[in-house]
Amino acid sequence: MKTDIKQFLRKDHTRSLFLAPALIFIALFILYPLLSSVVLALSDITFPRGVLTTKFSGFKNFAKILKQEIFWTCVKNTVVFVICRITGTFVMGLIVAMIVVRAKGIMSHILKTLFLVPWALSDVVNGTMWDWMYNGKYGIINEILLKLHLIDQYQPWLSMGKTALWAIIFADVWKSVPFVSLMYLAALTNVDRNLYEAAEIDGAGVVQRFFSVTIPSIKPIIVITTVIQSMWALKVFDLIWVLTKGGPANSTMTLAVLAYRESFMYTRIGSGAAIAYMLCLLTLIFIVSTLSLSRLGGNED
Amino acid sequence: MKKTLLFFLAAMIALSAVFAGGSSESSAAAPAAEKKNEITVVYLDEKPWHDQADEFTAATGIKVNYINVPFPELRQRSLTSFLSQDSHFDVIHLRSDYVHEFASKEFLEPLDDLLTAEEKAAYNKTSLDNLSFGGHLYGLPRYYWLWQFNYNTQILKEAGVEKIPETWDELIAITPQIKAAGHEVMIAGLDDEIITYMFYVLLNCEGTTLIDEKGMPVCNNEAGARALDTLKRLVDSEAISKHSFEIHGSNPASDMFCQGDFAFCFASPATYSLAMNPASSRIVGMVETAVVPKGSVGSASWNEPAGLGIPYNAPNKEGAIEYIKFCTTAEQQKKVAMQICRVSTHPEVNSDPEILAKYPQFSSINNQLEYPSGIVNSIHAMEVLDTTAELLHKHLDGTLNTADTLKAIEKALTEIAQQ
Amino acid sequence: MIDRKTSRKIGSAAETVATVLVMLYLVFPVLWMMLSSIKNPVDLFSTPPNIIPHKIVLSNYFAVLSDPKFLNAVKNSFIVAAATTVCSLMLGTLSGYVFARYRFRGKNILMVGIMATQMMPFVIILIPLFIVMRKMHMIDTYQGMILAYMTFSVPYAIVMLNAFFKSIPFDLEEAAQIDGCSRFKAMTKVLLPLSLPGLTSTGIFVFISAWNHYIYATVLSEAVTSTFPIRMQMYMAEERVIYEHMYPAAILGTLPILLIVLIFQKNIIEGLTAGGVKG
Repeated sequence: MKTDIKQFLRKDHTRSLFLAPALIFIALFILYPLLSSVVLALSDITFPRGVLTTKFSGFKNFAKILKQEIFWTCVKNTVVFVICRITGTFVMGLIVAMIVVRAKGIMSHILKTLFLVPWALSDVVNGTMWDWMYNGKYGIINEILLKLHLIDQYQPWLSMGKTALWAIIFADVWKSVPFVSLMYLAALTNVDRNLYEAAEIDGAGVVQRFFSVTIPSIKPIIVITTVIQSMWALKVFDLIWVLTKGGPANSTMTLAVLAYRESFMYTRIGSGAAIAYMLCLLTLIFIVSTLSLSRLGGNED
Repeated sequence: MKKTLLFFLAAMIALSAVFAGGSSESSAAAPAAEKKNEITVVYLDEKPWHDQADEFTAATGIKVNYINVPFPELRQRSLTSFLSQDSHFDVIHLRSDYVHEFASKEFLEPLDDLLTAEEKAAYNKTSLDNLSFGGHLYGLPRYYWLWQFNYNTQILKEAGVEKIPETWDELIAITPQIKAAGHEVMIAGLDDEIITYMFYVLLNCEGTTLIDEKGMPVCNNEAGARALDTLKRLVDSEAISKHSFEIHGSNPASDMFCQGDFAFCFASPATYSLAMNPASSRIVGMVETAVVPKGSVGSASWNEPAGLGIPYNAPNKEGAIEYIKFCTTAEQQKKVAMQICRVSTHPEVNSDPEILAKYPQFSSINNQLEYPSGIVNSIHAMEVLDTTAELLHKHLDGTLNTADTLKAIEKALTEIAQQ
Repeated sequence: MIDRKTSRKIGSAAETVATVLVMLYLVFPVLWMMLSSIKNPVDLFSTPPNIIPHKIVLSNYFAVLSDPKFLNAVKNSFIVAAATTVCSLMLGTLSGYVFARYRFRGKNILMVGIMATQMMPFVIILIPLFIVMRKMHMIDTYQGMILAYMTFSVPYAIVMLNAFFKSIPFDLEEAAQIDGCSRFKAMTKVLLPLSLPGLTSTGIFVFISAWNHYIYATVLSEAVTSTFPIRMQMYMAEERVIYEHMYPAAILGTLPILLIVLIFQKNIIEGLTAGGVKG
């Protein structure tokens, strides 16, 4: 017995000891609540004498929401939202990162602080701010667009079905640019200078160098950033709720907002939980598609 | 290896300190007997309510743990507490539609046995009915959130309007005049589901309403058609400014009215006071209040009766009912009204000379309260509002005609009621 | 054909314009909020919106700064955010190290599982998490909030630090271990200093997320631990939104974060450009 314990103590248990705290924490505070919500999603919920009671009902909640038209509207809106956010953050993130990389001296210091500013605001403040900026009577965005002759009269951006979702996407991309730029900035500074020199010697112009050297070199970071951004995009709730609550006419209703509305506004908790799990499924689909599309481009993980 | 073990031990000790720290705070949870002297109240972070709590403690010796919640979170906070069988709130805020929602799920403690007949008689009967469900009383009323009809005297003068419109038709008739003078006609915050409030008011003006006590729709009739038609005419003629549909948050219609671009404003009672404050208004001294324009049957307004109630699992119900009784007396309501211009549920407070001296707009309140004024009371209130709003918007942009809209509303609301 | 010199001049002019536009894009909304915070409410709603306020009002800043509830909220946000950051970095480092430096069965599945916990929208775990916290008597305590915030920070930290550690070659640690260091010592003396930029950027993002987080704070904090986003929401009162306090409060509450970013930005970015992280 004694030798067994001694042998046990001599082995290197670093791995398990290091993992243990995090795993215990995750099991207790993440897994357990998640499992409870699975139970909610698979049950009929009633309140006899005020107590929340679950009765197992299989996939009834799921079947019910799949039949509702609003669910598919939400799926469409969610997909549009995520794709636009990914594209928007990719483009703007890359632009911002490239400008920061090439900035010199004091400009460099200023930019390196400035570009994290959008991230620093809380969603509630962000929402209220954008709400007033988009306002159809007092909004500064309308004034600027009018002065630039891009529109001929003030528009209520958040109240028109056609424009509401785009307005929200713009505000959301603005907020997400810092994270993406930071990732791309790190990636860009690690690109091998030699590759650029080789390409220049070969006669490649600026644009060509960008597409044949820069993009392929930072591809792994692009992939991981896209995956993380799509996970976060699918969860966005505060911004949409403060700006439009899912209106007008459900044009900005995404699955996350629908889950909240079902759970807390209409008190249909089972339904809300089911929608949230459909959202997870959608997230998985996005992640898998992103990863396989990246492999199509001939890239090792 | 030893170092790793040591580190691991240290981490475990730290983690358990975290847990122990948390539980030691209420493992000293006092036995029920001591709880008698303490209640937990959940409401907004505003001075008048805090003052009330302090006065209550001074008068009865019961300590009040006042939990501040932001206004947008009032309902959610109570709901989350109910859904998770949390039981440390004693007094919560109730709106009459919350009463229906919560009482139907048996979240609330009925107050019938906790009050004597005498005590109940001290309240206006309508105000008590507002907070009742299924024949039981669940809350005592604290104030009315009554929409008032304000007008800008300066704009009306400029537009040459001599007589304040007394019906919606008259309002529509003077719209071209006002627009010709370069102003907009009426602002009311009608974004998202609040368009249903307007429809509800118009239905009441025509003598009918949206749903009955069982939640079944009763608006698919001639009166409903007239109300819907009036709404469409108001929007089409731009009597209701299109800006009414694009503002969110607490009551920005008042803020916009105070800029002086609109002739009429249909919004909360504090609009008038806001308009009289130079820091927030460009129209100081140019505002008057009137009774809401009438339909074929009479006037009506939107009114959210608010009160206080007790969760079914509150730890200190005796203390809670004392608190509720204390805060809803005419005397207390008058204090609140004097401080923040809140409409009282006791008619004598609304016509009190002190109140009228400070807030002249109160002169039309009791008058307005004689007409129907209410809120959509239903177990599924939120859903009813949202669904009706969707269909109303479809009618307003021409997708559905009057008859079809009413049929669609009937169908949708029936489905919701039978859920 | 434009000669090299002119095309370079055009290029650099274009770049300057782009830089200015990008700066405006990043900062304009916040600038607008700062302008709004020194106006009277009546000036907020002028048509057309005015850039220069009619009357500059600074008294609102003083009103907010002298509000003990606001200061308390900022203090609480700081405590919770800082503690969450420290704990998440600790757990993230330990677990990230294991994922980056070891091979074992089920590693990939475990990593995917940890990433998957980030997929749930907050609202859905809200009630079960609240029940767990209540059973442990941690409502309205700092511990409860920190643990709740860790539920979204720790998985993020593990994923990010795993990536950062992987990008640093094992050679240096191997050398240290051959010289007699334990794994743990090798990690602390060799790996962590090299991955300081990764630690800093992960730490900053965790801090900012925790500072601004709203949903869990609404149910887990009541009187004692009310945080900054809740205080912001309180300005949306029943009768009107108290713009004159809300905007100054927003600016004041965001300043600590900007300060931290300013202090640590050298660490993040210049560290990333230094040689240590070459692949």
